[in-house]
Amino acid sequence: MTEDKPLRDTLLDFQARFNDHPRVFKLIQKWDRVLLLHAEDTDEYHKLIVRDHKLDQVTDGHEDDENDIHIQATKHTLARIYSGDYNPATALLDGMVELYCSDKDKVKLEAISMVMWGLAKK
Amino acid sequence: MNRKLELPFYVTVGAGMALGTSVFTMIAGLFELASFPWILIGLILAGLCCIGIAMSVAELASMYRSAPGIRTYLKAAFGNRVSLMLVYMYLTFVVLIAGVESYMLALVATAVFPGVDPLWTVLATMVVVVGVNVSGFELPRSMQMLTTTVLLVGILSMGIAGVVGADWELAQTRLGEPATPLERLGLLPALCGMAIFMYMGFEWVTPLGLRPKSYDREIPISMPISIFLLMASYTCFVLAMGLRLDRAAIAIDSIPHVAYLVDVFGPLGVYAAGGLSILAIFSTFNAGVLGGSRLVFAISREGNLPEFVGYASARTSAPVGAICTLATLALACALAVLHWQLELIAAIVGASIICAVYAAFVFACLRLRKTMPEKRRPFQNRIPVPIQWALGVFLGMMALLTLFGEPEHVTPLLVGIGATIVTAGALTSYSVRRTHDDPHSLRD
Repeated sequence: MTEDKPLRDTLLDFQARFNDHPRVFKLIQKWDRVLLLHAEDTDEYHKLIVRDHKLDQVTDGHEDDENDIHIQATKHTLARIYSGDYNPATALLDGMVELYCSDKDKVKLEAISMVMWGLAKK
Repeated sequence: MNRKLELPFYVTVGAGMALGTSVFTMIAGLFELASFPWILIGLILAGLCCIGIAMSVAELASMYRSAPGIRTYLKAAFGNRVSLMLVYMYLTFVVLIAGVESYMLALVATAVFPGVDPLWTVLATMVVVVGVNVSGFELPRSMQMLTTTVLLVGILSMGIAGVVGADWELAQTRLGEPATPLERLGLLPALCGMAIFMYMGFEWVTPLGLRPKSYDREIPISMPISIFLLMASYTCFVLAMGLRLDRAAIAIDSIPHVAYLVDVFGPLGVYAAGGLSILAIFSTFNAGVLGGSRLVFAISREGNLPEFVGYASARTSAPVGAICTLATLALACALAVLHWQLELIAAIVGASIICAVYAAFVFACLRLRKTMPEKRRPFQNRIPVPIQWALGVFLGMMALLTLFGEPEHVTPLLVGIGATIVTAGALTSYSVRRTHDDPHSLRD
């Protein structure tokens, strides 16, 4: 399913899910961040802006964009992670995704994914 | 972070992790095992081995950028079970070191303030470390760089001060001590294995790359630089210590740097030792033990450990479950060390574990060249392959021989390593069963 769908569409679905989630709202209090996603095989960049307790914008990005968190993987891996098919913790430990940010932000991302996909699976 | 500061940051993380108070306990262990020049040969040989290991780790890090090193590299090379087994052994090592470090700090605190009960220092250390981390406080990178630099410069200059002010006539009699059987060449691997402990942690820098390009150059070269700086500082300090103090006095002292600094600076030396120990435990806990909690958190989120271990605070983003789990185990270890005076045993078991893990890194790099030749490697280990094989085998030998270096400690050392292997094996079986059984585990 994630093979053919544009990554941007997956991210927009993720945005809707993210903003609808009551526990995610609590998690991102005072956590305004710019995430830059790089799909290295297709060389596309997407920017996710978390602001005012929501995922405010999903826009096209550029290599030189200022960011707090840089996430890099193949388009397929990113699509699987953002659609909840691939545990980001496992993806990181498998070396399938690269994550450049502070330790605190790494744990925050983990916590968000745990709340979103962990509960969803249950 | 300013690009010019990136390399110094990586260097200080690697060196900071290695520079703990338990390093001084291991120095006492080296003096128990041998005398000059073998101690210095062992130190330098261990440093050179670590530079070889660092080259393999750098190649692995350039293949799996930003990944939590040990789990990723070993999983890719040897599969899930072997990787988990070595990760749990590594975490046992982190717990042992956290326990030894807090006990060492307690001994130094008692030397500085004679009325202080070591038990209270151990408890206070753990409470402060847990409190600070659970509250989500993150030390600025500049502070990490500053503390490690002060520590390195401090050790080096205190070593130089000791060499310069040494009584050379007396020193010559000390340097000319008759050789003991342990000083023979055949025991060099044990000496070297113990000395490797003093460099361990340089690889902790690999998940901390600030950008993808860091793995092409900065991170690979930061590790040998850290090791070289440590080698220079240790060599100078150990030489000075050997020139000024009797070998037997160093060997029986768990905190020999206190006696050495009192010899160099008089009564004020005890405060210098206290400052050195606080900086050392600060850099080790900051750079390493907290990193251990991140690793525990990550493997717990993979589904390998109970859910409470993977609990993170929504408010502070601190991996509370992992921090509390590691701190509880470290406290238990510290109390055991305190009660039975096991500091040298714990440190030598730690040295044996780390030699085995480092051997696994070297073999992982070689194996992945065969199984994944097409995988991108922006940094390549240029050391000839036969030498890399020899290094891996030598490290394996050191893992074993370190346990037999001190005949009077062999039984507790074998019990310690046996308990580590059994515990790691049991945890591995538990994790494998759990990830197969757990319907909620988000597996690939």
